[in-house]
Amino acid sequence: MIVVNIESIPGTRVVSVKGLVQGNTVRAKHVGKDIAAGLKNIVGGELKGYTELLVESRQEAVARMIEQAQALGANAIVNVRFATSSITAGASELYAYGTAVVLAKVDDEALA
Amino acid sequence: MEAWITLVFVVLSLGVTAFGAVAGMLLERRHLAQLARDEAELAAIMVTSMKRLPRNWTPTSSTLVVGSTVMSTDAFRRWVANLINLVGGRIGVYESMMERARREAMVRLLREAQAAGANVVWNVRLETAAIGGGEKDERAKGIEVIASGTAMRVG
Repeated sequence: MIVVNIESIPGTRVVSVKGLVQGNTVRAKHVGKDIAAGLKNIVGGELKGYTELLVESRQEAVARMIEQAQALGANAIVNVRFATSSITAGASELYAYGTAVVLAKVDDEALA
Repeated sequence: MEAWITLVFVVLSLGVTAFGAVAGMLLERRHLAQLARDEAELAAIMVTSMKRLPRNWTPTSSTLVVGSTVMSTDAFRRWVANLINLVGGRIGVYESMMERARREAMVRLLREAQAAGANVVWNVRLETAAIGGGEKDERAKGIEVIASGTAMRVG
């Protein structure tokens, strides 16, 4: 599965468009990490616990998006976008979406 | 008795704010220096927000690369921001937090691109959201930034 955020991949041709695929997840950290973040807020800087949360959420959302694309019989997802929002205290939603397509290689001569 | 408790509380919160001001400033200075070093190291990778590739480019590989971070500011600057909020205007104390978060996210994106052996990152997007903030406390704890792009090896 090729996952990119550009519209087309040079050297390949879109054979068919399978439609929009998406994956989202809402995650929270345990209260200990929330307290640690609260303390870190005194001096500022990176809130590592929340960065971790963000990375995990993103991986989960992308995995779900890829699952959907596979179910549709696509071999690539193009034009991928991410969106985030905070839902309640310490919980955040991450949403990934893109267009599932079937790509085929194009001969170099055909390109020229 | 009550006056004592109030006094202790005021001294404590002033102490925390003062500590935050000094430690926050030092940590920020160190972070900015680190960012400058990282950016210099990764400067060889070309980054653009363009969607389409030039026609004569034929990259040998392309993968999605992402960098993310959550950044917060210190207690003193949050207090200053609240004061400015009363009269309105430019809140410079928050601008440095946004700058640090975006630069850090970009550095992480570039590190991923570097690990993938890429020399170009195309169609870079930056997404920002405020996170945290509890039921009692409406203010956000920090901001999160996600940078994403397509890393490619060209030439």
